[in-house]
Amino acid sequence: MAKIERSQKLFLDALKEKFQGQDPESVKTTFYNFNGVRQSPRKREFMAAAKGIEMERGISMYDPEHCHLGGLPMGQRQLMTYEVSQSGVFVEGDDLHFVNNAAMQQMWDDIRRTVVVGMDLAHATLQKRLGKEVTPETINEYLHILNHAMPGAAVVQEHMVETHPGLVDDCYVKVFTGDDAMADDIEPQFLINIDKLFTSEQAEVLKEQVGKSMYQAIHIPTIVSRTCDGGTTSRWSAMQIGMSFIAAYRMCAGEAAVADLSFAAKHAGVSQMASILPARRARGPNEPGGIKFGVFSDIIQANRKYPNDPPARASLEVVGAGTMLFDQIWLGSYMSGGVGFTQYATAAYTDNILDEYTYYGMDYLKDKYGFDYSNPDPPAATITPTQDVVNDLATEVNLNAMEQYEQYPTMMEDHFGGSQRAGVMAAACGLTCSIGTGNSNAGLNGWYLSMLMHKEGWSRLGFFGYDLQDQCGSANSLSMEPDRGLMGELRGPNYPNYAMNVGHQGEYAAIVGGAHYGRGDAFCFDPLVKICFADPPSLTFDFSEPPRREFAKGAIREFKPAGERSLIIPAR
Amino acid sequence: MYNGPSQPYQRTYAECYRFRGIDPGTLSGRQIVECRERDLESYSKWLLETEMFEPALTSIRGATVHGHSLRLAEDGLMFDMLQRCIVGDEGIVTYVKDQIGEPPLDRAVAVGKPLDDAWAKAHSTIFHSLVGSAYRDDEEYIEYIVRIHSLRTKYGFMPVEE
Repeated sequence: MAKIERSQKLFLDALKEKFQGQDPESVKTTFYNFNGVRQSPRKREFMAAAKGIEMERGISMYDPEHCHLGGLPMGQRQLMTYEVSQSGVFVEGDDLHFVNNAAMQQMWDDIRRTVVVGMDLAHATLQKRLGKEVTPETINEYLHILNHAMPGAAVVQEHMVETHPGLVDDCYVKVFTGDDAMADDIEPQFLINIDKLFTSEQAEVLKEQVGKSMYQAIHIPTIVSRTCDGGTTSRWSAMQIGMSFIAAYRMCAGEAAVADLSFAAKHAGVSQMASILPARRARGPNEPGGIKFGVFSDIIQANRKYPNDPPARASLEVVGAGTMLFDQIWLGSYMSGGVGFTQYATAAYTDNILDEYTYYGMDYLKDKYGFDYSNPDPPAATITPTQDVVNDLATEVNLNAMEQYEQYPTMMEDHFGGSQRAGVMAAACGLTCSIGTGNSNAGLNGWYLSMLMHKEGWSRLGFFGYDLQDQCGSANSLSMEPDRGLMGELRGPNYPNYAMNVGHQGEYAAIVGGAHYGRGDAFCFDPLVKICFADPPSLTFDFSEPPRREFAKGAIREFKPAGERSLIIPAR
Repeated sequence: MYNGPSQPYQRTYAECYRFRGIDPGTLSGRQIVECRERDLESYSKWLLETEMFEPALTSIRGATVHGHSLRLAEDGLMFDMLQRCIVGDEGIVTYVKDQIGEPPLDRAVAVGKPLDDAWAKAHSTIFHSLVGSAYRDDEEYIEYIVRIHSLRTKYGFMPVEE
């Protein structure tokens, strides 16, 4: 290890904006004179809104000056604003709770309402079992029918109820294939064009992976998956696929061969975005706890859209998206409830703090190992993931991060919880190791060395839960021998030890993604998922734009979500 | 964190060695102890009367313990939303509310004067590159942690020297 100098601290602008008129390096400040909860414009807005609601419904509501700690409201210290990292947008903390942020809701909606369904088995059954001819023309006709049916329209029976298109306008189906000739014959409105969306090198790899097969990227209506759950997505899609095949290929209902087609078309080729969880978690497929980290890194598209940006940038976008989904929504609400988890999660994607630590790691990689993070091609440029390399990278990045917190007490005050600091420092270490070596498990091992160093240096770590996974993680990361575990790509939020701790899962996902972004890979784990989400502007949440920027749009109330109900409710 | 004399894990280690029937829990700012009621007073007395306690930089709190990471108040006290203690006459730190912030106590409890910066720096169990000793300078300490990590990675929790 050997400290290097970075002349520009990425977090300084945020600290100066947050703590206006104060020296970011000051050790003392004043408290108890900020006018309590009223110092925050958003809290004042909440109080005013609650007054109106109380008048209308006759039941008391938000009343922080009475209800908080027996009449002592929060705001005895400064209630800070936050800059969504690398967006330049400052927001109130409240704007980053997913209930207050439509972009966050939509990101999860768009994942939950998605399945990828293969068409090859259906086409083979149609041809061999039913004697039907399958041509590009019939496929286009089928897709036309399917885009009529998938949002909730009938195609076969008389006298059926249907859904209002204005309520389900986010629902659609497109296809993709690695067969250029076949792709040319598909109507552009129905095609995810791999050649147009990816760099030529990435497109070549992806098309080779997909081969001559054809897949449907299916997104059912947001309002359906919200009313039901993630397990609904494949069922809703299956019903509409089955009926559309029957209509497009003019089949009889009820014969045995159609039953064969039903299984082949509706169920045999389905890829869920998330695995079903064990009964004790009580969640079906396509719920957050079942998303493998490798899959999640493929869903986020920053490395595709900005291939010339450093892999650190793409990884940091996965951190932002992942902590929002896994910490705020999955652990924070599905598994726990309440509002506290947002505070943990936002630390990783606000104020450019993790960004600064990670770019320090990138500079260290370049300075000491000659790893040019701005040009990670060819893959041979990555460093062999030995224990010594991981130890060196994680030690230096962690020491630097601790020193930054010490040198800038306002930043320590910004990340006022140990879990925030632990997650952020370990993420920077993990990302440096995974990006530099192209090995996700090396990244995870760097994370755990950071945790041990943090604990022994400051004699503290995160909340109680850090006593578990972070103090035993060395033994189940770089070497899989001790517990015969999994490579990072196949781990997920429900992996043993990972299942209960806020402040980890989004960062783990990014560490996995970083390994592939560092190598310049076209995908991390599943090429089908990578292609499926590379589909602007049809998806409501734009996975191609940095997710953190989308969250900032949500925070300043400029994001337009799906799931609109104003068509069927009284005007306000 | 500014050179408090005994940081969370150090307290836990000390209590596990010194006391019977104690169950410490360690978090980032607070450190919680559960023990038999009959032992509580003696253990608490020990914690307050030894060098593990410093009136301004450590604190006894029940509800809303938030404060260890914040800059110090102008009077040198660690932030406490409920202001359970104040710096009173002659610079003596005095508790005026109970652990959940309900005033007044039947009598205020003086816990002494804050110790000077030099003492705190000399006795602290935390590394701090701004106000204390830099972690980076203790190469042997870092080397030992890295060694533990490497052995655990290779061998799990029954490490064998190569």
